[in-house]
Amino acid sequence: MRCPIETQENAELLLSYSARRLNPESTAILEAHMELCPACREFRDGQRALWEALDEWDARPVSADFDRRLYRKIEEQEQMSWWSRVFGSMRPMVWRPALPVAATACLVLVAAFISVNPGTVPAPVAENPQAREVEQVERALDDLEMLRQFDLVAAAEDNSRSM
Amino acid sequence: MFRSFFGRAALAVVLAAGLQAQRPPVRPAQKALRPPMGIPGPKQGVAIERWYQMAPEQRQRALDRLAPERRRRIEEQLERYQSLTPEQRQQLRFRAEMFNQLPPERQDVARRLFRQFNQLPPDRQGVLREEFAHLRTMPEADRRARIESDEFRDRFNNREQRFLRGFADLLNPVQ
Repeated sequence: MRCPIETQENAELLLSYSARRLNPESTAILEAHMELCPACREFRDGQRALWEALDEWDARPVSADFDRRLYRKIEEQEQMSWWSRVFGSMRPMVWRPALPVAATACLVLVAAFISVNPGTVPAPVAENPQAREVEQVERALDDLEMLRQFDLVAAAEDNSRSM
Repeated sequence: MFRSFFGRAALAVVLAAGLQAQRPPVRPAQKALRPPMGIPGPKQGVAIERWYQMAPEQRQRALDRLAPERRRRIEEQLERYQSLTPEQRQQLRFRAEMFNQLPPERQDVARRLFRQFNQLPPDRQGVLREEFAHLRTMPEADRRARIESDEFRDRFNNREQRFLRGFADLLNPVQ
């Protein structure tokens, strides 16, 4: 399989995999690829951590007198002067719903920063030389095992090469 | 909703990093820092030689980090490779050289098909190996006719047919 991160193709596969929406066959192929690809593995681990964090997050239950307090606050807002309304809106309570948007904006800024600063962010590589050696020898052994069982050269070519 | 929102944003960052990694170098001096992604790693024999050039403790440490199943598979394959006769090794080296001349996409197709093949029951694997050896000896036109034949369809299920068809395609010259 061609690396979805490296080739920029089938990137949706990674998201579907993280969301456990991928079919078993594609899952098996992608998992086999992840065994060899540190970049995809890193992305999967990041996504997994994100999902786990979101799974643990629970909205607090609405209090019994929520409506009453809300209407009171609206009334207070309406009675405030225009400048109090503008500066009052900067209170943390009001900003809270905007946090996910702000976080996403930060991610986009990071992406923009990466694209305008060549060479400052390293491409994902194997974690350490030993891990890289294992991956390379594993890939080589897989290839050799395949070639041991199957000669992928047509017999006509085979004859010509032995002459 | 936030999950998918965050997921897509995170993916955008990773893809931007990937794109950045693929961008041509700005200065010649940067070229030596890292080979661009997508360039195939060392050839099979070199990778295995390098593995054996590592100190035994280093090899052990590297294997210790792996999941037991993955470790067992690598150890078995290394053992199998070591037990080959010089003639078998020579033959394998030759096959590897030919395989490395295939375009990377075709190499990946072969690896994917072989992974699927490994999931088949052992008795069917034997049947498919025989059939492929037979297909390999045929001229391209005969091979195609064989694959389209009723006998072929009766003998192999859809998955097996896909495998044989895919592997047989690899025998054809690159268009």
